[in-house]
Amino acid sequence: MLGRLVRRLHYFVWRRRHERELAEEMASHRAMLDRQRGGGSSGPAFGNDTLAREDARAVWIAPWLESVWQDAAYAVRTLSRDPGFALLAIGALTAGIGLNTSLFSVYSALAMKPWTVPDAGRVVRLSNNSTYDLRKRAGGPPAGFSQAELDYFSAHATTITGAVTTGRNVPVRAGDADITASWVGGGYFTVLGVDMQAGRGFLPGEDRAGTPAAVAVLSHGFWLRQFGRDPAIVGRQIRLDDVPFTVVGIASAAFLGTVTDRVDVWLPVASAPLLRPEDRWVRTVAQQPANCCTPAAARLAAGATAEQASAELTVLSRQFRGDRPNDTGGITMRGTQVFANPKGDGTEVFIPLFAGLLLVLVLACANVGNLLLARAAARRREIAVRLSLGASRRRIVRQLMTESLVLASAAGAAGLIVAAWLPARIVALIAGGPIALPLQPDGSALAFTLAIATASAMLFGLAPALHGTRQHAIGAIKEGSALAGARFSLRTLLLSVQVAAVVVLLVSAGIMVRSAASAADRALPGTARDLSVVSINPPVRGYDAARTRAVSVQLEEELARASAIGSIALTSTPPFASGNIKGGFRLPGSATDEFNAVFEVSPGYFALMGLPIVDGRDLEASDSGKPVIVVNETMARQYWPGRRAVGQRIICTPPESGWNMPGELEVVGVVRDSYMTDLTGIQPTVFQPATRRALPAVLAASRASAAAAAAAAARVDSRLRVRISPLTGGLDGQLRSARAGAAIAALLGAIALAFACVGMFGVFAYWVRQRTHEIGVRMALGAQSVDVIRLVLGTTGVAVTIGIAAGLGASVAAVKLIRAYLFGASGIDPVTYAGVTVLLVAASLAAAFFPARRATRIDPLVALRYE
Amino acid sequence: MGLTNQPPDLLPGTLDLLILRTLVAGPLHGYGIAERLKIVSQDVLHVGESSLYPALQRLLLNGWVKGEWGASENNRRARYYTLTAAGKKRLGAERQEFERLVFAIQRVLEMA
Repeated sequence: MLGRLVRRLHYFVWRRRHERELAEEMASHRAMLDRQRGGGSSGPAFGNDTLAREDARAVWIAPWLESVWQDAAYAVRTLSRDPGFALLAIGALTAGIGLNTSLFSVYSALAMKPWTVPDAGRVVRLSNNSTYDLRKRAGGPPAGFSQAELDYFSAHATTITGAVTTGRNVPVRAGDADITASWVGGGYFTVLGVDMQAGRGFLPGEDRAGTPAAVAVLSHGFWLRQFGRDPAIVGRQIRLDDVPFTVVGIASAAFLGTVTDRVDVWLPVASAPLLRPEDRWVRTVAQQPANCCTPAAARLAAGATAEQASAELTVLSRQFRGDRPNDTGGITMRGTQVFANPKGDGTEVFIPLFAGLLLVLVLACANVGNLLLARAAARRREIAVRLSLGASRRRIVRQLMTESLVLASAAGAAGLIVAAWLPARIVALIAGGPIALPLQPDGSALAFTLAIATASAMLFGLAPALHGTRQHAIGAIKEGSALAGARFSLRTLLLSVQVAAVVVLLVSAGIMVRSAASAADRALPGTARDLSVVSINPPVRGYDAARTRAVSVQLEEELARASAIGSIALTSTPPFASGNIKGGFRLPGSATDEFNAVFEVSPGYFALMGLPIVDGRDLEASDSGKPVIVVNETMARQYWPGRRAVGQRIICTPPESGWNMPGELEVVGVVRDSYMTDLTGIQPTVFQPATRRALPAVLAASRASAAAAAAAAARVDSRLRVRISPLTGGLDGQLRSARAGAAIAALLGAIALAFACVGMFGVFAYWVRQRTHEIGVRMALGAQSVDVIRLVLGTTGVAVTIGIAAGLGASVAAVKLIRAYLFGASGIDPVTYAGVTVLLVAASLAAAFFPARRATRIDPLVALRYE
Repeated sequence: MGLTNQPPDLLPGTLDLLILRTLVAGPLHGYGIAERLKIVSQDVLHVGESSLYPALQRLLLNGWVKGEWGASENNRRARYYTLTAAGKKRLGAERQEFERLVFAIQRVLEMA
């Protein structure tokens, strides 16, 4: 088997020599035969010489392979004779294919590729579906696991080799660089099986709450950037937020971590208090292993299935937490892909994206198809001659299709290069921070590119190939007969398709751009946009609960003294910042637990934010310590429909879950709705007086008041870490994805418009060229320029109009697809529809301008003679 | 790609078998093989070049013969074909197969 292949290859490489030798051998055979017969030709006894040689060659190289090779070589030759066309076609296709492969790479990195550890198929993420847990029942995020429970699993389970927490990220400062650290369980590197570049992972003893070990593992990228691949860094100390940590290992270059954000250094969870002693999560979860909740991952043992592990861990979990009747949920496994969530969130965003990019590809194919049609028309003599010499139509169609495949292959290769470069740039644009995703094209991306390149070749190549070899093309050998197309020929159909596709893309882009532009207006009422946020954090060593309370009270007094009335307000979490808390409660007489966002605000907050109180009253200074709350309109509508919310009560669960007071709370006011956390929607929200469990953030009306507030904080305790930033800063982060999406849509729309303009220009120019004779006749018979122009715009104009109409219709459906990404703007936007229509009419007129002008300049005498 | 000058009912693949057998006695060039076949079969088997050379190329592809250029009787260059070890094995197998086939045909012809 292998020997045959080797011999075939050898023959192929030296085929000229082999054919020469065979010819010589057969000539020598003939000579000997001639000698035997005593002169005279021995032709008939010999058989067909050429046939023999062809058959001999067919033994080594399959005939079909050879004809394919022939076609490909011919295609490359003819294309290189017409470099303008080839570059135009390849360029258009590269744009289409490159964009699609880039999107595929992003999708693959998010939805298909698991964590970058060896044997990644055996690593799973654990989900706790316990129905007992309060948060889960209220529709909040699924609860996680406590570290003690994970240790219990690791000790007792046989279907997994170990379970470990994948922890939490925290920004730290290392020297002069702002980096991201990640707190992970002690077994992180061993359970996941991460390859190490140098050193080791964590030892079990290094992750014990109470005896934190200041050890760190560096990421490969961080080691490269910060320490220049210095091998001696292992064993040395580095300073993170001015706290010394000993480097014990460096992860391999292949390991990209277990979250999408780029992690630069991993630290044991137990060491968290060294960096953030004040942090709520650190105090309640990191330092108390028995407390919930952290995300967790595990590695399946050899031979165990996910179902077996699920069942075993469910049993172990019940043992650990104490048997709870009525607990029907259990532990389930899910994949480590970014989008492998039970709800499958995230993949929907790819549907409109793929649809849009496929549309661009269709546009590119339609353009190239038009170009090929024009080319086939120019080559009809050549084709007609070949047909009449006996070539089968199928053979010529195959040869034309090979040309298309060659174009598509070249575009595919260029597209792969684009896909190696583009995704990382786009993701960086959207994310705004370093991301660790496996975005490089791999085998699946190659297969995808191959598939769409081939499909494109079929799409744009088949129709022109069939069209160009139609039987009555033979009549074209005679000079001068224009291919009189039907009224709605293939060309005009392609043109309509192009125009429709462009309209859909431009309308979608236009609506997205407009909604992103207005998003900022919708998010914050006018006055609120000038506010500054003064965030106050405790010193590095932190405060205990009593000191926090005392400092909070002191801050409130000092700030009230130092600032003008109404120029500042306090809040637990500023709008659009992360880290707000949720509180659980129940309506009186109801058994369902609710779970909503809770903000602590000072009396002047709503006034400062420009939010009117629509019912009842604002919170007052005297409300501190009283069981009163203010709710927003959405909450009032949702819980007390048709009634006044003021005067209603809710029953909340103990203070640890975020409430000021236990027991019954009375609603004293309803405030206008506003976006508090992100722009996707307005949630029911509760506002209560300050609990003083953490230091507040200050909203200041101007920079001067912000500075005054900062000074006041410094007077209370000079070690407080104070930072001033504009309120819109947090909003910018939210808007970034909206703006990036709009920018991408606008770019795609522009590319599509460019394609369409080139396409329209091509069709108009070709039409004029074909009709030159006819135009000459009309002008000789007395037609004016106006009539000629009307003629030029006639048929193709109808095609464009049909395309615009179809496109507008399709846009209505398309906008429904992207409704979720409009951030509250409605999809019905007559301005955009009208604008796109005008734009396309203008573009088509512009595209028709030069050909029409050329048509009016036709000299009837020349045209009549032009055959 | 048929065998010209052959009785139309020659079993396929027999030509390969015949050529391999002819080469057992020693290396021959193309003309020599055709001549030997004609003589030994008493003028029944005439192999034309349109069948001989494709067959020889097939044997070369499968590694059952080796080809070497040398001088022929009248000092012309000719390619001499030699049986390889694999070719000998193949000859034995094909011969067995052929005999089995012929035996089967005979049985059918002699049935009652």
